[in-house]
Amino acid sequence: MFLETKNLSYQVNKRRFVKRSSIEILKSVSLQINRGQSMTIIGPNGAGKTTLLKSLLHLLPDKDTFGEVLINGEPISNISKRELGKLISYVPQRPVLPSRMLLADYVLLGRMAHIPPFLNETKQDLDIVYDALEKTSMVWAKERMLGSLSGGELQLAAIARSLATRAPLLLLDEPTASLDLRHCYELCDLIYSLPKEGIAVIATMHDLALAARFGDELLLMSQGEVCKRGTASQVLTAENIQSYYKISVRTEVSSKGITILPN
Amino acid sequence: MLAIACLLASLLLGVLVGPTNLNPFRVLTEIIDWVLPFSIDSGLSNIESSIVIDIRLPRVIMALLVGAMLALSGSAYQGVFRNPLAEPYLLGVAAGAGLGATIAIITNLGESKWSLPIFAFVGGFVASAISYFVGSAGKTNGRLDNTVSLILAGVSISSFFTAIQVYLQQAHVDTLREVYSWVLGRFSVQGFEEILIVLPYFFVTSFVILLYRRVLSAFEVGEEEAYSLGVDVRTSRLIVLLAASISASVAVAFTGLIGFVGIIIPHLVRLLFSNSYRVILPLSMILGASFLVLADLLARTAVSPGELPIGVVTAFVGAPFFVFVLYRARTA
Amino acid sequence: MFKNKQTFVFPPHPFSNLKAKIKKLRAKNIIVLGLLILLITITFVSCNHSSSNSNISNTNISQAQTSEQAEVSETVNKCDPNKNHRVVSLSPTATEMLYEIGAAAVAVDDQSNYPTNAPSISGLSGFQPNVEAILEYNPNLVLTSSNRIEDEFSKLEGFDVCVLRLPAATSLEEIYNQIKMLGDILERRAEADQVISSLKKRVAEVIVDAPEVESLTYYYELDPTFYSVTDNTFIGVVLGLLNLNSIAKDTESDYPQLNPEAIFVANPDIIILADTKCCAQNAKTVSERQGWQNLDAVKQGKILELDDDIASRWSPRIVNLMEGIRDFLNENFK
Repeated sequence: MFLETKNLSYQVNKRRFVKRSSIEILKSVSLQINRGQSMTIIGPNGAGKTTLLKSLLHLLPDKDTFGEVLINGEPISNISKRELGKLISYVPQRPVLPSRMLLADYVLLGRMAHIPPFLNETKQDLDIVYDALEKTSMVWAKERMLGSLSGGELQLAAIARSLATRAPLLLLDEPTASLDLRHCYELCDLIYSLPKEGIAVIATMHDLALAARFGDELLLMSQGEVCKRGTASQVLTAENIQSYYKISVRTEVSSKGITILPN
Repeated sequence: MLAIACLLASLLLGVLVGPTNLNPFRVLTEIIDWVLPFSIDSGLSNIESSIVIDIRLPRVIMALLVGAMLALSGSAYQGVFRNPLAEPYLLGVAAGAGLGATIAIITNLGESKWSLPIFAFVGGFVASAISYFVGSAGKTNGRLDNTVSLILAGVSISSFFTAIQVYLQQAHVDTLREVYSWVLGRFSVQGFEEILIVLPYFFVTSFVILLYRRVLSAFEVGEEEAYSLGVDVRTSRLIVLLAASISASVAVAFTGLIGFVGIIIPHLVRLLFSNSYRVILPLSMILGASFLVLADLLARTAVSPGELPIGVVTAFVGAPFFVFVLYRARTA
Repeated sequence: MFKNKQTFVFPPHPFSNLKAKIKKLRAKNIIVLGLLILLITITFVSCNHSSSNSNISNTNISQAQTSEQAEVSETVNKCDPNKNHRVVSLSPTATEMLYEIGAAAVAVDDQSNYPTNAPSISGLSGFQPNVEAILEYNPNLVLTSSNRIEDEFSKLEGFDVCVLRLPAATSLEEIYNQIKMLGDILERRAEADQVISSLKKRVAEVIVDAPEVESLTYYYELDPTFYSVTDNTFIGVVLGLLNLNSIAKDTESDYPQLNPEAIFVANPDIIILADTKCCAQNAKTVSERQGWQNLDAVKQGKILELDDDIASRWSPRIVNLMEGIRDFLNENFK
């Protein structure tokens, strides 16, 4: 098993003067993913999807986190930050894209954990950067400043950067948000082709049709818990959507995927 | 290449030109004579050669070191704080050093010429350390970004130290002029002893900051993403700030508060050359050094035989020049 | 279809009442602009007013300065001469003069350190006078070196306190005048006259005793960052009486910060240190400065250390200073 969580919980303590209260944002989440697999996390807003990704990155404070996150059987708290950077790459929902940075420099940031502090990037690093740009078909823009790229191109830039890390696990938070239909599908084609190269992909997704079409394994989260998991046809039933998204829908299953329409 | 040529030219100019008119060829011979183990007769009189070797040369070297240190630490601060307005004095180096210098002047400690720089250095360093620990104490919560809270801590520690300094100053009015002469910056009293003390700091801090050039680029994408790229954000931020604060404190301790270099030079590099830290850092050093050498040249010669405070010159010359570059960059 | 059209109400087009909006906007702008202009005019008018005021007071000053005697009589008229004035001195120089003519103060400022029996109050400042703190000593006469017409001291006059302004002198003659003013107001005219004539006698002796040398140059150091004086300053005038000339010439200010190169080029005959107390400078520290051992004055040990306090005041002790310089010159240049 490449990545595994056991009863992962996270709670936020709120202290208002004397009174203390804690809110559980993740409730005993257990999941496993291997290289070459993809996992799509769906669920209503505030279900804890982003927090789950952050906990896998060891971005949350240790003292509020309970349970275990294991990479290759090793707890992530034992892994140095540099090593972790080589193992997991992450594209947040709204990546910070310095507008005056060149695209090539931005993608090169992905090699951060690989270049020793005393040395400069090698030819190999530059090849990997070029490769990542090629995969995202962004080679043409490598000398452009990020500020001059469109929203869809920027999303590709962020993905190129995480591809440049050559990390075996890729975490994507809402990669298709704010993209038009064509870009959505092109991007998903790209993302879900990565497992074939031995990369594990965990992506959160709001567009259920996209999730149904591309995701092998779907995880439905609600209020910090994993409620349902399985294939699209197992998870995306009208009853599940109605009870977790609080909206009544009808679903139509066809060979091209699942269509979900509000009643 | 261009930048290095620019530095060499300004160095040459700095050594050759001064309030005293000396034959440039003889000045060069004198310096070569000073560098080489055997002696060449430069044809300068005793006093004249002393002017070149004992007064001009240390001054130019000091201006070079301080200019490079201020510009480098300025760009490092801007990188760490992701704030274009960050300057070397952001965490209270200036206020702390000012307080240290005032205390040294008031107590007249030790009659040693080193007491002022030591006190100023300690003051600057202590102030920035307090700001750092206050600003980064506790865990990150959603309410306040780490860098914002650091800046806020720096601002409040600065005003606190300045308040104490002003109070002490008012209580000892007789020291007012000496404190101000320090505040306005001075290059006139530098010798090789001072340079020998500054040099190790210069090398160590510059080396550390240059080492972290890629980390500074990674900081540009924000704390969370830098972290996910494998950067130990907390530790590297501490190290870079430590190096930059030491560098700024040392510069301030010997030459007083020289504004403008630390904030404008890195932006000049950004506007004229590149936005990547591996260009910004070395070029800032070189341009900062040549800028300060030239500014000091002006300070020495503009009102000869008198002298202008260097801080006045840097702002007076630098500000219009930067406004010009900014205007060109925005209209181009 | 028809029904739909009836119920659907078009929102007003955002540009439909554009003209009216522009008009409204213009009206608003005009009001704001008018207010701004009004504000600026008021500022200007008040500025002009105050500047014309200051013009008047300036002419007052110059008139007062041109006829010093007139000012003396005017002051004495306002504050009656009285032997028993309670005096608060906020100027170290005035304190020295006061005690020289045999009078005493109830309180003197924190900078007054001579004579040592003067009641120096720590925290009582002559630079940042605190009217309440001064009034606590219940003075009839306050001495200050401030010569601005309207300052904190002016407030004291409202409390029936006489304020005597004894600003920095530019010649020995002015010192005598100030001593005379003090003697007049404290009804110690005989003592004042005696002090003045004794000072005049000593000055004459100093000039006679000074070695007959050609004009010597000196570098006068106010602090270790090379602030110096020109011949036009008080100390420059005093040293000029001994046939000494400053190397600082043609500078923007009379207290210029010299470039060290200028000092080296001038290669002065004498180095005079007036920063021995403030900044712990002495012949040794000067000779240890880089390159300074090449200066003739340093080589020959012609470095004169002065007491900063005496050198920066215009008190009767300035004559002691002159005597010291005369002795130094006799030792080194005879």
